[in-house]
Amino acid sequence: MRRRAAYLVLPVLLLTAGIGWLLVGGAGPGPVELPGRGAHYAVVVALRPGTGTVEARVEIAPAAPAEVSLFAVMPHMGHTTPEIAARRDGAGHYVARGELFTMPGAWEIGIRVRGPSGTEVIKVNTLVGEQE
Amino acid sequence: MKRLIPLLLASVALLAWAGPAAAHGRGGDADARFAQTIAGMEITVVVRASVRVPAPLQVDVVAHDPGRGGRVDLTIRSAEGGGSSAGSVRIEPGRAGMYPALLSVDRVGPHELEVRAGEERSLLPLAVLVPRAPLWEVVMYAAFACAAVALVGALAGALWFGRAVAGGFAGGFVVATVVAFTVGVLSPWFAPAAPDGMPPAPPQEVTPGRPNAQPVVEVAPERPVRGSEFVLRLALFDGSSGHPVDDLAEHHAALSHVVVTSEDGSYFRHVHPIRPAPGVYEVRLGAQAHGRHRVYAEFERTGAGGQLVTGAFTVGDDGRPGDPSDPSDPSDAAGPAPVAAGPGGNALVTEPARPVAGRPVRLTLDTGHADLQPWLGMAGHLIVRSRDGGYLGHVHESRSMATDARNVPDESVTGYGPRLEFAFSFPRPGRYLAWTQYARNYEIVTVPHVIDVAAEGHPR
Repeated sequence: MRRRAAYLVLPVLLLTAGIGWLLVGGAGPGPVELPGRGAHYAVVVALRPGTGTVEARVEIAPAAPAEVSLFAVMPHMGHTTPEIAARRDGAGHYVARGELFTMPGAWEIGIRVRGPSGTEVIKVNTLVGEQE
Repeated sequence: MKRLIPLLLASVALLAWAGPAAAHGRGGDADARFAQTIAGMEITVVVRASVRVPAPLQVDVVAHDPGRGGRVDLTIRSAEGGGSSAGSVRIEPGRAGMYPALLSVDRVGPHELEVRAGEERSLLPLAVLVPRAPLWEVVMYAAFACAAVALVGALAGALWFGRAVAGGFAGGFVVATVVAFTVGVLSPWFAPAAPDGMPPAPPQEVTPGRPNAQPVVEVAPERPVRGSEFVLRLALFDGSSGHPVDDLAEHHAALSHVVVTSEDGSYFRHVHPIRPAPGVYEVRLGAQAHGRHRVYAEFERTGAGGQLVTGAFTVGDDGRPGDPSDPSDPSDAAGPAPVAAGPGGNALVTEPARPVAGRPVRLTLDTGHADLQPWLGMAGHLIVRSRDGGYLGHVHESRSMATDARNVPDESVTGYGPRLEFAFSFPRPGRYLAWTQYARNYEIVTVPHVIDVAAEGHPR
């Protein structure tokens, strides 16, 4: 009896899950944490990589005051986006808000850090999906 | 359930089997576009996508610069034999716009489109493609059809044939539905179907690219004089084998994009040479400025990335008064002054106001018109040349790039403007000559600019 119920319940569950997936259409781009390291600084960029306006949180170490800006390059297509200046949000933490990616695909994010240790551009890579 | 799992795994393996890659980046449902500078006209020949063959083939000739106008003959023939089909349009002088012609094709695969205007003839290679439904779509629809039949069978079985028959049909319904939904959910991960007629190509991930192509740049006559017409010829040769390079792919709506500028930037042409013979590209130009001219040809070999090759030629002085002093002297190369024209001013605004080398900058052009059309697949083009001519950049408008590259908007769509935005990182400090280009009422508008770029550390 239990086995017969399983034959009935399992396909129903599978169908429900399938319909649910189709209706939701998959989740939007999930948040990612992208670590990178240069000669002077180590950075971690946290963002939801999608087209449209994105908010990128940048953590730099060492946490000395610095001027931080972000831009993106799509090497495969030869696209770049202008620099977005990040504002300070606590020691070693910065937030940049703006349009970084103009289309879905593989992008390279450049994090320009100018601080007491020097100026450098640290690059991290991400895949960009469609914004919901 | 145990029987269902192997069935599902087999389906997934079959459906995920990679098809041949789209070598030209053009799917079976996309139009083929060839910009051509022919007989004094700037036209784009648009070969509309075919749904099936044999069938009529719509070919639109978009006249961006009709010049003196005239008849354009079009003939398409298969490279694998069979007949040919011909048609023609008559371009009216002074009327930029779309001129349709109807040809026909009787098979898919490689074809050659001959475009003849005046004394000039261009042979454009193209593949006639017909989109094919991917295997996963066929399996999914078949599974849904089976599920529907099984459901009716189960109901009929329950009414007239008893429990066993009804149970069998119900089982079939469940299996078919699970297969259909599984295939549907997994479909984004399956390889797209290659259209019929696509030339055989290895999967994209194993494509090794192609060797470099090197140009021989010639002009005829050898030293044109100011005020005369001349032919600029580019013959391309493979850097590894020495053979002519004749595998150029349709790249931003042309086989090759050629920019010709005089040393001082007062003369600028962005043209699209005809292909009179395999590996040879020619364009007829008028010499307007004397002195040394630089030639930049941008193209893409099939299955490889974009390349830029350069050359140079000299226009002789015709001895007329009013000729500038020798423009080949770099100290004299101030370049054109920024142009203020049109309702929007047509001035290029940079942000920050003083661009810094190596840092991306936003460049905005207010055209004053909200009815701009795409040209070469983009709302706008920005061509940037360093003062010494050693660097040439070609930037596309940012907003129009954000569309799927395979679904290029049609030339008739007036969906852009008034602001055109570009993002670019100037490689070195110094003065740059730049030209923005866009299309309105099918005509190409070219606006020259001068941009000074500071070194890092300079206040922005």
